[in-house]
Amino acid sequence: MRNLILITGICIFLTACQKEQVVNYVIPQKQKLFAACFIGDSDSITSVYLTRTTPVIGSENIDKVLIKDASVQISTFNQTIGLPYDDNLQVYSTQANTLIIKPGIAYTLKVNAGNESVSGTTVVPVPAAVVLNTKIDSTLIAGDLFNTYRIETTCLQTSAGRYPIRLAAIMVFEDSGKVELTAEETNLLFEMEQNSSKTVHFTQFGYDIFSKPVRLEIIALTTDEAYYKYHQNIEKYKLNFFIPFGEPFFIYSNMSNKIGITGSYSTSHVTMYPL
Amino acid sequence: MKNKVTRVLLLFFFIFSGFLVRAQTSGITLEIKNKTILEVMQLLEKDYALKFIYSSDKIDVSKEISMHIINASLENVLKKMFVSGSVLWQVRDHTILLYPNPNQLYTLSGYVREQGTGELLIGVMVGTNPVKAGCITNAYGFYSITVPEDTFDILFLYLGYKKYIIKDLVLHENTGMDITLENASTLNDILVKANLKTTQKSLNNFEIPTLKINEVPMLLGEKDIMRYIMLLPGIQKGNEGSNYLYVRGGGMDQNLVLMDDAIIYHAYHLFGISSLFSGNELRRAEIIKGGFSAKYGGRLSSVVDLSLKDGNREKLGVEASLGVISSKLQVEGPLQKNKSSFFISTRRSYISEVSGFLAQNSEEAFNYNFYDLHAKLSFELNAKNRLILSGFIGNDFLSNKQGTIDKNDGIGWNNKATTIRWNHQYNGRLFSNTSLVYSFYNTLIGMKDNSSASNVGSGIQDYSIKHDIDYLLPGYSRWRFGLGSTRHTFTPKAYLMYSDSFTNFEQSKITDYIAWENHVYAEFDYQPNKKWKTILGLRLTNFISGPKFYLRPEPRINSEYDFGHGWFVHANYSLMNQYTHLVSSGSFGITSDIWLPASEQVKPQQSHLFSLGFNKNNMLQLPVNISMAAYYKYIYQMVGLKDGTSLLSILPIPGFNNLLNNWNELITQGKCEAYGTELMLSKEGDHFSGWLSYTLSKTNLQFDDVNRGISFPATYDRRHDFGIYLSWHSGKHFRINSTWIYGTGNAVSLPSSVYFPVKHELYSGTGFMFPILDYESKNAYRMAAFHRLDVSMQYISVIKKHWISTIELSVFNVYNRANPYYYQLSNENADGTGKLLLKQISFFPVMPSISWTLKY
Repeated sequence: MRNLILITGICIFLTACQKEQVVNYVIPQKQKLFAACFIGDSDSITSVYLTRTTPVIGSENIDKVLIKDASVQISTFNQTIGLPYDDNLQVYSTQANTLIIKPGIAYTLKVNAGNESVSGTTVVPVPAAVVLNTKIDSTLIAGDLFNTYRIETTCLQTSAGRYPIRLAAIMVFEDSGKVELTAEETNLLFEMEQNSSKTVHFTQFGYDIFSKPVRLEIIALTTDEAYYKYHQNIEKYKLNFFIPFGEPFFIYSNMSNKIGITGSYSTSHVTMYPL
Repeated sequence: MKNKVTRVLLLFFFIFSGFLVRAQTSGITLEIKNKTILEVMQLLEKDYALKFIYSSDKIDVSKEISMHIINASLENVLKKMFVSGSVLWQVRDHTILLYPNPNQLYTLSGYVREQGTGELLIGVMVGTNPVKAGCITNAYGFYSITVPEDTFDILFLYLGYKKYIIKDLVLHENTGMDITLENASTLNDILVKANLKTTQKSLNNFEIPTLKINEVPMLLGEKDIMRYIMLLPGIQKGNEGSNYLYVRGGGMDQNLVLMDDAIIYHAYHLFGISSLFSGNELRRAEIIKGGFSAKYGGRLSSVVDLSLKDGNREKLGVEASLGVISSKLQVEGPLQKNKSSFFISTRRSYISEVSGFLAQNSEEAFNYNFYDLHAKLSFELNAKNRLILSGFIGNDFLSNKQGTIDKNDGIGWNNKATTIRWNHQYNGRLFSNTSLVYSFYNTLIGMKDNSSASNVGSGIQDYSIKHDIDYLLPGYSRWRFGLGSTRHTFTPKAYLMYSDSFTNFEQSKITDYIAWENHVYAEFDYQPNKKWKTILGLRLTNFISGPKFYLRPEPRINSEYDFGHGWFVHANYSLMNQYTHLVSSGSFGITSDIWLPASEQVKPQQSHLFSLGFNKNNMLQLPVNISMAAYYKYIYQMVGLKDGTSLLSILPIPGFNNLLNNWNELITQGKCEAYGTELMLSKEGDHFSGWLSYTLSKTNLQFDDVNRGISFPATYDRRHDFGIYLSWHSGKHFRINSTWIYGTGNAVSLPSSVYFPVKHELYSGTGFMFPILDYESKNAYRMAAFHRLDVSMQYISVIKKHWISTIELSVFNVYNRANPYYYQLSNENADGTGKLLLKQISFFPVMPSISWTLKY
């Protein structure tokens, strides 16, 4: 019996022997181009953000590997624009007036960097939503140093079909500074059927009393599928980031190398001022 | 032949005897009570001047009859005398010639039992010589063959039992006869193995010889039927530390495990390392992978049909085994000799005790234990009725604290099942079984500290009733009918949280879903001759879940042809529906298992399975069999988890946000395409036996919400799967067994690179931008291949004439292969700094173990 207990003990001990071995060879070392471009009618410049990914294996820090010498072009059926690299903004960009952006037109982004090239295409959607009404809860505007705004805005989907819509509220200050207001709702991207409406609440806390807001811009963006899915995925990724044992997440991409985005949108605005 | 000659001679005599005048046709009055036919004939001869001519060895006149007849014709009197139709007559004036009905069929029926225990035997082949009819004993050991009146030998053949022959049997009437078969293993020849010389006809189903399970070397000597099943072709091998079944490209939830008609939802102990069934407690075990009978339904990929032992009807039997992590005790015996019996088998682990003994301090001890209990009572009410009660409990619990077991603080799961069955034999050809079944499975995660406690659980509970009928036709053909209904109660999420003092509920959230699953089926087993057999079945299934009502037909066809000389081919098609789904995160194990019903949002899974194969016995005049089969399976509405989701998003585990309120948000449905070829080569010899199984297969999945909608290999996709089992014994006491398994590595999702995404400036959203892991594609990489050699040596001896002692020394993973359990990205340094590395985590190095079994 004593021997049996001894053998039992040895076996249990061995069971507890967890063995680890490094198997880095399973994953090939890869660096891929990551290009992101959003084309829309409200941007003052059209820009393309371009980096390389960092291989997981062997990395100690995740660095933004900016690429400055790539060839970046956006083309339509009759126009091709080259985008130079802007060191200040750290993106490839062009002024909005050099690229005519119209709903229904397809825009193709092409990037060549070294031996790699990627591309993606987007069709700018027709604006499908209007800002119906916006209310400011003035009772919250109080306090000596910091005031609080709570804004309720509703948009209406006016086009036939189902479109992804995004609402944004931007406050412009007398010093020309801009702040995008934080929404109370966690999901600001939603798909809407025709004649349906959606209400979103924005809150702005504690702006600098010495720089007063002069106007509020409420923007309804109608986005294409790529813009919508990409941003939705990123939000979901963030939500699930700390949940263990999750399934792998694949961020939506319409680029040829399955990473990055070429998205587009159209806007309709309502501006309220003075506040 | 002799019968025919006699009949002709009698007719010849009768026709030419010169007394051919009209018979008396009316005016007979009789008041007979419990008199033999002979006495009635004598009475008629005396009172009505009649004369009966017959051959006493052909016509049974000893049967007692009762009649009340007034002024009846002779024809009517004769009809009442020979009401069974077994006797025909010719009447000429006052003379009546009686002769056997040449078209009369008689049925021989009864139960087949094991000699010495009275245990019913399932799947015994019954046939006649010369070949006229045959059958296989059903799930309750019942057989029935219907033959014309003639002289036959009746043969009974069963795996591991000596052949039994009834010589020169002549049936004059329907006859009941119970048969006992002698086990090929005796005390004096205990090393004779289960005789596997009965030919394997197809790779679609395997009858598992339960005695064989004890011979296969297994982890820590723990005998396990699932581990044995995994050695067979078409069933994935080599999931380190896991016995979950993946059959022909199907998921782990697509296997129907039945124990005495009760569904076992989670048939495993130790997080899947060991199953609930060691084999000793089973009378019969069968796995079916294709060509499904219409009586089975509710799962897509396989049926594991297990029958618990009835218990010895003749004498008390005891079996005890002492293993490394658990011990087992089995007791059986008669309640009333040859009328009723009991069977109890129980197993308990002592992992926490051994761990506590070995650990240097209590914090290091592993407070985990499991137990199971199987019990059965069988009553033979009379020759035509049997009542069987069986039950089962299985429980596992891993406590967070040492020394004590507190159900509110740890992880556990348990199964319960109870079945009441009534076997009724209407006549020799019509047999029925009615079952009432209760089945329950739940998992629980409990966390508790000094001031609060919370429990999170999920489970499923079933109440079922079913009725099955076997109707055996003359020859080989038979009908099967049945219907049944199950009430499922699903509890995907139960959440209880207690505040201080554990008396006040802070939050209580229990959501139950009730669903009904009903079925009716008919199946015709058409076998015009011994060579050709076609089974046509139709099962109509219905599932009611909330407002949703599903009604789906499931046609089945299975055809087999025996070309002779050991060549045998088969082809079959099955359509199956599955209305209950298991949502499981494979990496997290048992606690993430949630059973869910089909609903309006989640459609039932449906599969189409085709298979085609052949078998050749006695290749090259040697006791070698080769079987090969190809299969193609297509599954619609396969259930999977959406990208990025975790079951922890729905289970409100303390410390994690409950992100989703509805499990429907976790699930996506898509398609699965699986195909492959299976091969099995087996040899049975007096000293050496074994088999080799190989499967070449591919399994791809496609979901719109997963992997950007692109098709990807399933985690359990295996290109190559080998299994080799060898057994050798010499002399009377030693046996050496070994298994070697090899499998292509599991598909795994790993990120190849990482990047910071950007968002549109009008879409700033909230919070910090997380670095995103780029997985490229789901399951794009492969783990290292899996292979392992296990060896066991058994010494068997007889102690004091009645006790059989088996001492087993086994070595698991002989060459200490580090097979991957999972892969993990981790930093170079233990403190979380340094470069990221991919690490393979392996358990189960070379492990010797010893166990001792004593059987009375």
